[in-house]
Amino acid sequence: MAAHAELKGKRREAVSMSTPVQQAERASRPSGLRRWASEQRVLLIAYSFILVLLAFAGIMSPGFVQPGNLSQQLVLAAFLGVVAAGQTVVILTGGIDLSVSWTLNFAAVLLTRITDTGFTYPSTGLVLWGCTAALLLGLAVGLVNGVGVAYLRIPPLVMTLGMNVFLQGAVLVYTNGTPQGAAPPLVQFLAVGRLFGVVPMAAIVWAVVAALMILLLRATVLGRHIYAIGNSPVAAYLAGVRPRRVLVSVYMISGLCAAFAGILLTGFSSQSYLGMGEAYVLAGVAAVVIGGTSILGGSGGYVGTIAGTIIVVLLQSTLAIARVPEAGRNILYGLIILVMLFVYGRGKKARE
Amino acid sequence: MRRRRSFFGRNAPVLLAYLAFVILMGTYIGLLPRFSGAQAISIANQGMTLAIASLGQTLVILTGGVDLSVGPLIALTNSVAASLMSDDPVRVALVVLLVLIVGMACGALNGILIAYGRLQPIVVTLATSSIYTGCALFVRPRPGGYVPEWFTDALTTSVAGIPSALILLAVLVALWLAFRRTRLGVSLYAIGSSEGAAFMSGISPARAKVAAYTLAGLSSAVAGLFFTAQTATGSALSGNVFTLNSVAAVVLGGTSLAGGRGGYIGTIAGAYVISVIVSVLFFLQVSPFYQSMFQGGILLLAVAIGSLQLLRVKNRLEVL
Repeated sequence: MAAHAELKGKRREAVSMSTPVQQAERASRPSGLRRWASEQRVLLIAYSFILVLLAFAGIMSPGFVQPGNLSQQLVLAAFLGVVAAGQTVVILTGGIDLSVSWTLNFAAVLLTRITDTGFTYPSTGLVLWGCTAALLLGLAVGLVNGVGVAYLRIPPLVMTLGMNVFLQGAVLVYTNGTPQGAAPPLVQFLAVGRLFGVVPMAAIVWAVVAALMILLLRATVLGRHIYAIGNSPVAAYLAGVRPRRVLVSVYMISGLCAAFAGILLTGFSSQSYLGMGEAYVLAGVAAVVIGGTSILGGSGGYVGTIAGTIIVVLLQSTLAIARVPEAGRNILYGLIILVMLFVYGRGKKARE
Repeated sequence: MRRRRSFFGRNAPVLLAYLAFVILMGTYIGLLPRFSGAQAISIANQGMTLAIASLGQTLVILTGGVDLSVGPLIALTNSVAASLMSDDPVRVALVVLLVLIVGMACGALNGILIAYGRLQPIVVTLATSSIYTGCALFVRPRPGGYVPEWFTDALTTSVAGIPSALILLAVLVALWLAFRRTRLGVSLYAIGSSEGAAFMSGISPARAKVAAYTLAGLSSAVAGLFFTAQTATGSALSGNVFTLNSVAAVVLGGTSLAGGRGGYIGTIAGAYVISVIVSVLFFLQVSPFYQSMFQGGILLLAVAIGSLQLLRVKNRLEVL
């Protein structure tokens, strides 16, 4: 979008030196602030909704908006935020990645298995190797997903679903049903540690991931190509984009993000267990969609997903403190997604 | 102009699904110490819930959509049925009617949101599945309920020597074959191929979509009833496995996820492949840990084989 803004800047310069007719046209356009608001409508709505949720939670239970609890919410959001980062990139191309739950889980059990040294603490080298192996696994899963989607043209829904079931079995076989080992202290620090005893490490990690993601989508060639493919694969191909390579890349990014979230979650719960990623598939998709990214691809971005992630986590916590029973929580959760979809705007009519 | 292909060419995916099914069944029956009528019923029952639920999923996928609320809807109807049933046949009949209405209403809600709300099926049904799970939990916070024994027997054993599941399956196939030729049936294919062209030809895509999702809700409700008879209990979280398995059954059966191509006949084979493979692996004494690996592997292998024909396409623009 940086390139986009630059282009717009140039256009504005051109307008200022233009004919009276064009100047009149310009005058009739909405003012800068209003135009910005209409361009960023989705983000404004999403971020305002966070404030509404916080206000509601504050009224229900004043303790909720204390810094201590808010930073705890941020830590919870960080794990979902990392998974949703990969999901955002995939959904921007018009795909979906349902294999994140067991990719995450496989990465986690791999890490604890490699760093399992009995009763002694594993060496730093071993921990780094464990993390590297976990991340490589995520990349490998993404590569297979990407090849299936891009080269064999298997629909993403089916490819990643089959992969997820396959990985579930693979994790069971690999662990024999009971994952071994514990999270090494270094990994625990990454997830639950606090820098200077105040700033949660998980939040810092998330901020780094977020910065990289925003940079990737806005300032790199790959990022531009991702949007192009999401809008029209044919047009993108004719314009010189290589869709298959881009698709393989996005699934690899998603696998990497899922594996990284697996490492963080292992640190958070100080161990790996079966099914630890189950909650992150649909919550991740919900975070992306609530953040305003179109499920058809081509529009949206990670800034929205950050808001979506916080909304999903806050929703879960506020409904819990409001003592809404699980039944009501599920219903409200679904209703809110529907309302957000309607607010963000709908598809075209058939006759268009 | 594309040449008209032979019967085998046109039906390759469906035939492939049945080939897989026959091989699996052959292995299974070969593994059984002895094959009896009771065993045939048990096999037919294993895949029945999925086979029923996948009928609705087939209709929806033919329009180019997808219904992710199949599982929660089975759980909801299962919870309602098990919570309200008693030994009284009249009451059971009323409960069955109520459950079917609940299923159709939920399906219609999906369809209206998608067709008239002009929202994407995948996110709408994701949202409504959360709502239906909530409703199921409201009806049945804890697993339980009462299902009369005669209800279980009627659906899961045999009537006049023929397994009830087979009768049910025959009814479903007959309904499908009749439905495919109706105006609505043809509309679903037309919408899936090209919504714009369907609209230009005088079809109302919105109305046809609502009908497809309503029928999907109905088939989930029937699946929920069969599931109730099978498990003889109600649980709000029981049905989740059916959501993605129904999509897998449809795809294994050769229906295109892009819509417009395929049908229920293939789906049945897909549903039974997914269900029977678990038993085959059990009899082969494969560790249950390998079960999902095989299920996922077979699904991926099947769709990969199905897409190999793409490699023959020379024009890249046709593939994008």
